[in-house]
Amino acid sequence: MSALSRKTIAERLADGSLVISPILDSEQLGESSIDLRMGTVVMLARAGAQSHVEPAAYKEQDDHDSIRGKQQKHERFDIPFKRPFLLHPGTLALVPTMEWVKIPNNLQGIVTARSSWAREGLNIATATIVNPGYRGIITLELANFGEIPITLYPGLRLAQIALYELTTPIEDDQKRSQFDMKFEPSAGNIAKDDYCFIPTIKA
Amino acid sequence: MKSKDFLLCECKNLGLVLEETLRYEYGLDGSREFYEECDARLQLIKGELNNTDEADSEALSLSFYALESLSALICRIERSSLGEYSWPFVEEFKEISEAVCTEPTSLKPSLPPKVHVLSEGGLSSYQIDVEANRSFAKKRILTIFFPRTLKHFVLLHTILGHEIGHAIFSFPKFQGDLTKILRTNLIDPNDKFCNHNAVVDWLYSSKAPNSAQVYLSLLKAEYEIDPQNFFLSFAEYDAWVEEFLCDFIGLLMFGPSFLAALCDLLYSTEPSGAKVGQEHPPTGCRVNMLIVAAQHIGYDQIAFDAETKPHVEAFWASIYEKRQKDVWFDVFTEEQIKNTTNAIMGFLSNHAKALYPMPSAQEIKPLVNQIINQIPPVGYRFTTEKGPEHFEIDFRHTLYAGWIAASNTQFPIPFDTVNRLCEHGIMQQRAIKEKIAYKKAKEAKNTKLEAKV
Repeated sequence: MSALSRKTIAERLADGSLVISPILDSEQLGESSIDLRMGTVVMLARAGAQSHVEPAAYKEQDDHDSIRGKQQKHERFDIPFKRPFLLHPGTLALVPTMEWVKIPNNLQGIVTARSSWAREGLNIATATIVNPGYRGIITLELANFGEIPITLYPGLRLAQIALYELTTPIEDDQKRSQFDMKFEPSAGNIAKDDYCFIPTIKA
Repeated sequence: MKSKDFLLCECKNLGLVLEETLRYEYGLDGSREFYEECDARLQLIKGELNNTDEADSEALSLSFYALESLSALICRIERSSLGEYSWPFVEEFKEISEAVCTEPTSLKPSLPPKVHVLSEGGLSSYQIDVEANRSFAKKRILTIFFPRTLKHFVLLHTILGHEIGHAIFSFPKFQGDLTKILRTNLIDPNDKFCNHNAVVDWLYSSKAPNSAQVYLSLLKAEYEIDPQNFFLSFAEYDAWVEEFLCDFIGLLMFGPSFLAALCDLLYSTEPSGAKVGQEHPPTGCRVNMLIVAAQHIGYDQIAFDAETKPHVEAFWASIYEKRQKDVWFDVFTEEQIKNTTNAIMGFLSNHAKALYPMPSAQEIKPLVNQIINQIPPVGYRFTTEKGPEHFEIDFRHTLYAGWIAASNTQFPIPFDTVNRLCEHGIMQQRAIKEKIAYKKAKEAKNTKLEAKV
């Protein structure tokens, strides 16, 4: 795998084989990455909703309890432009990028925090891999590792994506991820395809 | 407890409820204006009550009703939540409704209303409440109702163009002008719609389609409604006329998107198009009239290139399919529709942003292409020579592009996906708008500084 340089990124954006839309500033293009802006939704774990994260709560067939668990897990905030959102220390927030992304079948994206924000304590909890063929917003798992709250405003450049060429492109009809064509963050299914290892919990 | 004391106690309760509403975020502009307006109304009612004699039952009754309507308003505000409606659409729509519904008051020569948004119910919940009675009010509060189930369906939200028509018509300042326009151009010169008797003759004529005759016979069987008492005991002639007016306003405000949304929403409740309602004339008559108006404006005449043309043609074909072939539905002549369209266009052109600007193929084509490629439609382009470029796009063009993309048969996209793409595009376009405005302001500042130097 080789990383795409600024020139190649620009060429691919121009010919439409890579989509990151809209890029509001040419400064968003780094030497080998593109800055991503905060979108207008924030999902925060709701206090008191769950005592702990339990894979067994994720069922193969949704029922009242599992749907309720999912619906009550997060509190969703719409944050229009120029409105603040305060991220407290130790808090994890799921935030979409403002940009819509379409990654071609021969590229993979790696999303990390921008270093200037990381120095303030804002971090993207994990380096997010964006799969080849993915379409949609990218969910940023933001965490405040500092000791004081951080005010965030939609539109701020919080993250960056670097793009890598795959040795072999994926097939067009390859299975799409559970997050394909997402317009806002949602919790994933941590038990998906691993049910054989999870005991059945009796109600 | 005496009546007056009881009502004063209710004032206190209402004050507490008003404070509790501040626990929530219920609008993009924050809560201050709503709070201050409601608080001012409450103080006025309290003041009136304090000065009212216990024996003055009429004055006490007035205060009771004022408190009732204020409580209803405060409860609505409390029930409104940002997450339950599409705020990117609302922000754009607010600009139009504030411009159109600005009115002179005793306090200011032109005062825009405060727009409040609420979501509830399903398909038929679109509505705008204009506060007909505004005693004790400083500012008019417009409450816009969106269907909760259609939160992201921005393409259908264009039906609010019709609802804003009702809002405009309820303002005494505009009612006279609009009634005159209708009388002169649509109603008086018409033989089918000039008065109650003419409408009844047309409705009950032997030429009426079978579906209409079935509805009328049901009305007779269930409610004993016949030609003699149709407008006395069942329908409201003026309300029917107002419906036609609001359809014209919706079309001129939102363009082809309005027509498409109206067809989808109205035909979903009554596919034959022939049903008569107490306040609504048959859907088929409304659709046929709007198609003639849209053709007169020239919405279907925009010249697209070979790539986009088939999609645009598919859109218009889907609209023309909704046209009722039976001439019974054509209650107005082409001439009457054209004259009315022109007159209402003249009326709306006095209000900034009210008229849907005629789009160009160059504006619509890239938006359609983006949607077909499953990318939110925005005024953005990237080239290696210039890097990112941004363009201002009226959100109504985004919606028209959405309808075109949704109708295309070559690359079918689910309707809900098209709606979400358009909603996301409108949100992104706001970011572009902020960026362009900031850049312009900065340039203006620099020019000013340079001039000073």
